[in-house]
Amino acid sequence: MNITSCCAINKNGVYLNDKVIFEGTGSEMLPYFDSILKYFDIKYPKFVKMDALSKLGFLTAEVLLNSIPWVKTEYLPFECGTLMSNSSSSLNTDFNYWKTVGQIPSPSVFVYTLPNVVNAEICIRNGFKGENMFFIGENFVSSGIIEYANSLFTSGNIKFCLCGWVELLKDNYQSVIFAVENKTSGIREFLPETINALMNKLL
Amino acid sequence: MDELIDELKVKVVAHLNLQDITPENINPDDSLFNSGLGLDSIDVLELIVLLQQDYGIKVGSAEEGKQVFQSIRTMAEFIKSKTE
Repeated sequence: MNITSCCAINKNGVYLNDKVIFEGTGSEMLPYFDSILKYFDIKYPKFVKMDALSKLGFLTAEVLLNSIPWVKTEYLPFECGTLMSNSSSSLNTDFNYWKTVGQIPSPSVFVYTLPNVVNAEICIRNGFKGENMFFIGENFVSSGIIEYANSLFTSGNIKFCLCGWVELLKDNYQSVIFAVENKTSGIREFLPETINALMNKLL
Repeated sequence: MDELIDELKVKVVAHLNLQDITPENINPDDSLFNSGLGLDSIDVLELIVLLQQDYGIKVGSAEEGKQVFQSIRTMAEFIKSKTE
């Protein structure tokens, strides 16, 4: 299996397969996310309602998937999975929700108080209906993601998977999402050492 | 009633953070869902919060909610019936 494309977003910019394709604007987080949406001409009205973590994961997946257009026609919805992870879970939104609890709690904030909503937003947007999982851990554990993904691929449950790290807490954020496919070529092999090198470079 | 409808349009756009929709563009008889304003179930929960916060009104049941949240006009009629 191979990694066929990889996208990362941090304060410095948006990276696609190691190249900067959008420079960071130096603005605050949410305006910066809006500028990425606008720059890549992504039309999705529901974006404005997402919490910051979902916006980050959504944007990263959008840029990534636009670079591998064959995914839309090559795989069935149930063959596409997502395996994400981070260290702060949905804590950023949990804080925001907690602020509303003193009055009448906000339903639209509450629905984002789980990190796997990032997966949901990506899956809804792209029609993915395969396995999805969101792991919480101190660091990105490539061996765990690889083992989990391999089991899904070898059991025939999925044929395409987005894997990555989508972390956000207060003003600190970074995401790396890569596409894994059962293809003979790609930008990198789906192995711990190559993924660790990729993550060390982008995170 | 017209004043209340105009007030509701402004509040709904602001409260739900609707993009590309201005209060002036909303027909008070348009559906709140689908081809109308295109709201979803979470938006309706936010509208329930709006009624409670701004008008002190609680929607009593799901059945009542179906009647209330048909359009901006039905919302206004509900508010008027509860505050008169």
